[in-house]
Amino acid sequence: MTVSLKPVLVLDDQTSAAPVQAHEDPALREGMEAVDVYDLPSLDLEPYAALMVGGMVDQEFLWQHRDVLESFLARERAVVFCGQLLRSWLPGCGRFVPAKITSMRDYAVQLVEPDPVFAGVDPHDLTFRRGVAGFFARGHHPPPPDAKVLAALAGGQPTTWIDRKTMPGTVFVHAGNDLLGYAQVDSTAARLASQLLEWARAESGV
Amino acid sequence: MRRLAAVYGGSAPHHRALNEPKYARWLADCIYLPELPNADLTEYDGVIVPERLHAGRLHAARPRLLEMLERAGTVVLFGEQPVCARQPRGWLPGLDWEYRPTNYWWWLEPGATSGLRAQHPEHDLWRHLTLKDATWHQHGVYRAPPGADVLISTDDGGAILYIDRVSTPGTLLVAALDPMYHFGSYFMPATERFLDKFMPWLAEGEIRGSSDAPQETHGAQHG
Repeated sequence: MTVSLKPVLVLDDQTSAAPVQAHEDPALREGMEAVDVYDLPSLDLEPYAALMVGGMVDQEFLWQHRDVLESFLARERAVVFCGQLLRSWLPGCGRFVPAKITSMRDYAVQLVEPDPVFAGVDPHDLTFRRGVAGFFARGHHPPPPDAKVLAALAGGQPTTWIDRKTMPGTVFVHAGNDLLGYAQVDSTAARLASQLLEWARAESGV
Repeated sequence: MRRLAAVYGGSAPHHRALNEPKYARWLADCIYLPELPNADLTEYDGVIVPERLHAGRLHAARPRLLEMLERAGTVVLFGEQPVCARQPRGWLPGLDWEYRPTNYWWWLEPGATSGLRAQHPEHDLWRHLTLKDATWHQHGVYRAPPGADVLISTDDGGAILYIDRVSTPGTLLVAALDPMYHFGSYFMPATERFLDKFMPWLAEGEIRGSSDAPQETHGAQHG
């Protein structure tokens, strides 16, 4: 049986001069819409399963409008944030803590609890992109108790986690570059973009 | 010391870069981007526009930057700048941007070079930083207008850092570099070396170059 899932809404920070590759990918576009983040206060969010927020977003603005995000989560929807949290607009999420990096080994990514978002992804492909380490994450956000930690740095810092307890909805936090940005990489990490999108659409209770 | 303001887009990387004490000491103020269209910039000698600001909000503030240039102030524009992707030519006087896919990996290839060249070795900027300090990657290049001083170029004639004192009464310093984003993202150590040296130079160094009219003697005005 095919269940009709609501799409994901990307709150586009419009800070990239490059074409946003994930938005160009037909397979990803099907379940995703994008809107200027500054339109958030006037949007009807009812049609969407999840909101996605990237690391260059104006967090002063999101903090001013945190009630919109909280009421979205109160309606059992999901919010996905990839970046460094600067202001407390995301329920349950602590401020970004940069990792102490003394060698390239500190960037090594380990998968912690299995989850469909990372299914089939080799952690080596998260640690390195064409031999360069550090793209995935350079720190973490302290998760609330009972969060499900999906990935961590070599020092154990939980870079990527899911919180289903703080709010009726779900918060997905990744302390690094936008995971949708992996859509075009030439490794198993490319699975992340579509799997995160599918996860976000299915996670919503509505 | 010049009285400099920096535009703050509200992102975490920009917040870190602009509030880091060793850089903030050179800034008189940060101006929140959504407030820039209505800001009074007349009290500043220059304004820094960091890379990767919201295209629509920055475009709304364009008149303030043009006013700064018209009254002989300094505008420092870092790239990539999405507003230049929307309007590659002429968003500010003389601007001509060409997006190029980024090679983050060039330095892993045997015998590879960055493709960057330092120009105008006599320019005061080179007394403060080296080409290596400005070398990590670019997301595109600019074409400098005739009469501008190109201080860093690519092998194929693109401009990575240029100073234009001919297109307006002011000084437009354009760099296809993204140091604040990377420093603020805890990524790419070269960007910290760049800012460590660029910020004091911008505040206190000699911005004018060899193509300008004869200059006053160096030194006295710097204290």
